[in-house]
Amino acid sequence: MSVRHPRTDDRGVSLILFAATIGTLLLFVALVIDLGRARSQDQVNDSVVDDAALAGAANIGDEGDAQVACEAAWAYVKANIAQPGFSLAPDCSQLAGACSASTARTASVDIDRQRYTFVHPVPTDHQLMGSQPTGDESATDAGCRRFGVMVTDVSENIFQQGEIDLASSAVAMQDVTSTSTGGGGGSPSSLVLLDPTGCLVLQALQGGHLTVHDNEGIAGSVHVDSDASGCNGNQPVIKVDGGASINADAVYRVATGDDAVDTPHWQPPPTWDQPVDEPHLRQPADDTWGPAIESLHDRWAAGSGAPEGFRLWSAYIDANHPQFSDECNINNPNHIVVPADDWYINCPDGLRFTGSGRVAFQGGNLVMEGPIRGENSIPVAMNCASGSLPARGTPAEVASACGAPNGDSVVVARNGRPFVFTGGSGTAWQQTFAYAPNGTISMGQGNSIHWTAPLGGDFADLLFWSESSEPIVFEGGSSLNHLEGTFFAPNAPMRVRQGGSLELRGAQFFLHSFDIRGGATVDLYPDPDRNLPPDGGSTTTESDGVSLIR
Amino acid sequence: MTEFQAEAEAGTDERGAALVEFALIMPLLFMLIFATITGAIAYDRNLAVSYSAQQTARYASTLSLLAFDESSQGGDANDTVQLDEADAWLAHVAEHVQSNSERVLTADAPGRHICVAFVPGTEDDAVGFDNPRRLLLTTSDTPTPADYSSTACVDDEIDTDIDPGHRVQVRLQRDDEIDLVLFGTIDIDLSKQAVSRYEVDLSLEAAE
Repeated sequence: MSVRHPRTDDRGVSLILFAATIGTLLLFVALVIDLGRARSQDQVNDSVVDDAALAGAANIGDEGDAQVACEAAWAYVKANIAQPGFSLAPDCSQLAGACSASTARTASVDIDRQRYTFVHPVPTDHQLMGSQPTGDESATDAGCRRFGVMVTDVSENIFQQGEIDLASSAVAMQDVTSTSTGGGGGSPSSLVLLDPTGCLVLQALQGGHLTVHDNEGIAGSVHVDSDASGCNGNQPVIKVDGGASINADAVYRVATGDDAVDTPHWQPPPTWDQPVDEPHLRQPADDTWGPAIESLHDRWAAGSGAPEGFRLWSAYIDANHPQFSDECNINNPNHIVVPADDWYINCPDGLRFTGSGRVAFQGGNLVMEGPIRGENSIPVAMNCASGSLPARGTPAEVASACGAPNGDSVVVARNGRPFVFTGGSGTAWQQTFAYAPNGTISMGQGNSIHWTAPLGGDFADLLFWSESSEPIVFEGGSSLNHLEGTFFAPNAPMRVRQGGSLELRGAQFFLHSFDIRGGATVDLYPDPDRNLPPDGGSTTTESDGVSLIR
Repeated sequence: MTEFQAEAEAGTDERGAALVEFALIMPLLFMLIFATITGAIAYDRNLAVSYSAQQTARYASTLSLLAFDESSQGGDANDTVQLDEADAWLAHVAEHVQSNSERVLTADAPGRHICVAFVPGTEDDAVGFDNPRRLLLTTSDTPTPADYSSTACVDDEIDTDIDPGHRVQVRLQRDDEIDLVLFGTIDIDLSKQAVSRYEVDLSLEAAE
């Protein structure tokens, strides 16, 4: 019997298989390239809209005419996407004429696969504003001082509404804080409250006492920005009650408004013997630090991982203090002296020092994923050149032991607060600026700090910058606290509680609102060398600064 | 010869066929692999060039020219920005490019061009010169491309009647190639330009 075997002639099979798979392979290659291009385009768009929005905001005309602003923004788009030869342009005449702050006008143009849309005004509830804090949005013309740019992908592809977001947008504004920093003789104000519409913006209750002293011939003053349009009933903007007091040479009312509406809310507090000053018009604050903050944010706060040139904290601990197995939880540090350098601390829950001991960073800069936590009264000193500090001392003693720093330092807290001290610690942060995009400062019972701002550089005289709305709390205030420089947290309310006293010479606060009670005492002293310079009391409303707000 | 024997002999003839076919396919396969690897490297460099240009333009737009005024330590009431200050500023910005481009634009990079320029607008008189000022760093023997503006880095076509502000231009280039092994190479030109409006109010700074 003959057996028929199946044919074994498989010549050419490899070629056939290769031909069959090469198509699939090329499809995947094309997919990866397309995805990469889309991501790359998204990154480029982010940059293009930033530049365009800034140029647009800088060219908003009188009465809110934005035709030229639109043309300027388009010119920057063209310059940055570098596609010469096309003659298409948005119809910027759509943005011409007087502005109505609540009605957005748009002009669009499609170039290749991208649609560029220019928006003016940008009302507070516009999609471009997203979750942007309201800031000075009570001003009736706030929307008219904003200019927005969007770019969206309009091509017919699988990513159009798919897994990746190909839309970029930016909003720029002609000014940021819209407040006067001076007036009444041109003195720097020690307390500038920026709640744009609210009542009870400045409160002293239950035995709380706020005093703004004159200093070196400079009058002590407070500026309050609210136009009282958001008040309920007969609530006042400034309230003093329950044996409390507010004392200052002057309290300036910054906002303009309908006197018939807001004046009843602006009666002088009963225990206050100084009349409220005549209204001062809003005007842009000196944008002294804005561009530097933006640059700092891009370089060190945005993104992830260690910024270029920064050394890893984990490697330092491994090499120098191997007894600590977890570089984020240092128990009983004894006396750690961290040499001056730029350190990246990757501890999302915070870098905790517990038990007993003391820690000194001798200088340089810090970029941190979480706060520095000094627990059980462990002092963690910043910019402490000598590295020598007492285990338990007052902040002034710690500062004295550290000696004069070799230069200025910057601390960036990417998430939350820059530091949390508990257990009654006293520490010193010298010539150090702290930037916390998402958090503020709180000092618990018995904890205190001697904190001074840099003396030079981009952040000279700036102590702290945050646009977070997290409340700033000083509890059981200690007279040992010393803050010297400008504390800029325009969206954060400040609360001082539970007895004790804060005597702050040279501190200047930009806050959303201020509330002191429970027997606490705050004494402020203006310092012309360390506080934001005044504008001379000018009442012009002209805007001269442009900043990216989103 | 039986049918079985004939088939067995035919089977013997196919030995090595897969090897021969693989030898035929291998160059194509290697070309694909090498092209993918070198293409990915080139793409990564392209991203670095692009990112560096954008970031440098934004950085420079917030960097005060008066900070480079050694004579007046930051400026005085009558200070204006002079050419030597602008040149020091440009050198600093160019250094920023090199330190932020992930070693893609080092001095020995083929066909490297780093061009940074300050283009004065008309909105204030704190700048003491009218024409654009630029700094162009190239790899030795690399000619300047013909499409460069004569005094700036790019002809950005921004009319000062529309926007009177000063501008910062950054244009970065370098050569690269995708290796196709036996099939040669594909030369590519990585380039990116960025133009930002200068944000520092020099008049205000000079007056302080």
